Amino acid sequence: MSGLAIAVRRLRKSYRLYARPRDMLFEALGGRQRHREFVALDEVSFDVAGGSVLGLMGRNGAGKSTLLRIIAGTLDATAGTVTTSGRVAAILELGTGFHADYSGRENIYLGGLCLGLSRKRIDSRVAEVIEFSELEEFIDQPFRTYSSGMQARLAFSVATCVDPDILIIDEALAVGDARFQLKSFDRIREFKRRGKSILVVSHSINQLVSVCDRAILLDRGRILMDGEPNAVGNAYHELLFGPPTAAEPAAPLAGTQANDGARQAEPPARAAATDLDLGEPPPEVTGAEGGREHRYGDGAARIIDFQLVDTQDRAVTRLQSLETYAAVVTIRAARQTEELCAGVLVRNARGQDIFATDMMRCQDLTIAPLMPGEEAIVRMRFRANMAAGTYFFSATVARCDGTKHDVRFDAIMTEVAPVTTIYTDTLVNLEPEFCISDLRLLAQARELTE
Amino acid sequence: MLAPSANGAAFRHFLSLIRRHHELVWEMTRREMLERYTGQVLGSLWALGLPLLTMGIYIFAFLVLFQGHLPGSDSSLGYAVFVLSGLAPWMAVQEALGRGPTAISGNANLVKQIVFPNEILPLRVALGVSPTLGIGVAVVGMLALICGLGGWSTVPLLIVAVACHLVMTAGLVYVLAAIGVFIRDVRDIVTVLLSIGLFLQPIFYGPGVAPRALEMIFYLSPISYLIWCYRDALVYGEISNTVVWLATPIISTLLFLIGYRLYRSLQPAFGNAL
Repeated sequence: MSGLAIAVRRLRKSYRLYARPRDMLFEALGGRQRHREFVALDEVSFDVAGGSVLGLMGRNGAGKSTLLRIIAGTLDATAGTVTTSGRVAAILELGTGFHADYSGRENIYLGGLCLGLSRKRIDSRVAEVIEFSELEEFIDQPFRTYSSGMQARLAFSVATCVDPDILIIDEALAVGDARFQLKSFDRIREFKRRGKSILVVSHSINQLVSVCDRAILLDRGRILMDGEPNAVGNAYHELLFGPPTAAEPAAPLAGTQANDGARQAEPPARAAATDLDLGEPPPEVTGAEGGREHRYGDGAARIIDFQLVDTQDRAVTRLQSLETYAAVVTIRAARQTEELCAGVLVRNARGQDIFATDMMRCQDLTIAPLMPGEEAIVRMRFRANMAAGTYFFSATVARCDGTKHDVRFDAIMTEVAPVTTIYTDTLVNLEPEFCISDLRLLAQARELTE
Repeated sequence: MLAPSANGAAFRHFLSLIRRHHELVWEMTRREMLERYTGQVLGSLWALGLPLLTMGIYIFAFLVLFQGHLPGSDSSLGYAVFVLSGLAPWMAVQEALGRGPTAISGNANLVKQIVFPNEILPLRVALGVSPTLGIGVAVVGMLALICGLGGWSTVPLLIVAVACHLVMTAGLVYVLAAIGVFIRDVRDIVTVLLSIGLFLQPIFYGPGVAPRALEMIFYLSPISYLIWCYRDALVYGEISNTVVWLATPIISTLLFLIGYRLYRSLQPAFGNAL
């Protein structure tokens, strides 16, 4: 299939919210207006070309599921049009439309018939569906006895085995175990190869970036961004973890030259954990990153700013594996200090320390004693040798004897973008490079030297 | 409402739906008949056993407890056959209409999550009463044969009656299902109306027994026409009222088409209310 698979034009969906069900009746009978309007989608337009995978990102309530349901045809639009070409199969919400009391096998038949297959064609595919879902042992058990992961596996298997032209997947992928997720992605890629179109919603930026050709970021019913998945993923990450004042321009870093204007459009410094409020005593926990940061220390010197920047000194929220970055720690003395030492710790999402060092251990470097109010900026250059995933950066400033002045634990949450060259769910990127040596030549060379 | 073009379009749409999805209709109807009893020890035996038991209770009641006589007949069996020939179809109507309001709202997950023609859901409710109807009619037919009423020659009449019955109830179920999505109270309203309706149909009243006012109501209720047809086929063994036999197919078809059109016009809004 070529050309447009899905065309969405100026789509608008508003829900009428009624306080009580009977208000709907009264209003229908010609009474005064009793509803409150809620706009779930507003002026949404986009196209999906045949043979492409489009990812939808957005926070809860952004309108993703509403959009999918309208495209799938289970919900009507308030205004605007949706045109689809070909058979649409959808996995909407968890649990799908399967019947809880029927066995898995019966549900395959029912699901297939619902999606418009004939019994004969289902007969010829049922073995494939069961095999793909890996539910051989349980296929004749009632659907309700399945775990949510098993239910999603069956739903995915049925929806993809009916060979739709357009496949719509709403978060069902997140439920299967890692192995099944990999299989699902392989199947999605295979779909794409065969010229089918896929629309995926997922909360996992990594998942989307690794499988989509294009992504759309929805927020409060509007398209915030439409473009290359990695860039959209960055924007989504900003939206999730950035400060609420999203429109604020980036504050230039103290001690560095102002941005050279080469890429002014770069998102502002959101990953920075900024604390310029010196007068207050250090709080035990600050909410800088969704309440994850834990802060302690005697406060003789404070880390007033901690952020990750790229080689051009632009603040970054997401890292590319193997790229070079710097962790920038800005320290301000509250009292007269002795010699200081700053350190950085990196942990993964499971809380394992994957890297830690400080300037003394690394280069026998210390910061000269500071006067009250004096500042020092420490930069630690590093290469992001991590594999894809979520990582937390912590910074410390301490006296050389180890007395902690300020520790900002998990102050920065960042994401390393997926790496296509290595397997997912691995920890580090060893910069692999394969080459094939000709064994015979090698043997000859050995003979010559002997 | 009676515009031939709109009704014709609805009819064509329905036919193409059936042509494309007859397997799904059959599968869903089969499950509708059996699914109520899945998970129970006797399982689908209930689908046959329940109507049989009910008929047995009614036969006992009208043969032994409430003995009545038709004019010009001594046997209470004759009266029992007369009453049951109306009661058996009524039971099937009651079952279908009682389940109609939840045909869609009770399958919200299916309607919201799967892309499929949900017109099938009310249809399967209407067709799903087949065991009740079939067993009821068969039992009454056999009783009629025992007391020398009816006869094999009326089988074609019976087929017409059953066809009209299914078409009419399908139309009514479409209406109830569509409204039931938006107004959940419909289910309870229908339950009440059905219990009253039992006495507003020509079921218990022998010929000429019902009060005048009630007879007017009979003519207003579409179900009455079905019952008269059944009674002709099962008890009298002949067409006793030509007008009824002409009116019933027309009423059934119109009710079906109007119900189907109402359903189709409300269908796009289902997603908002479920």
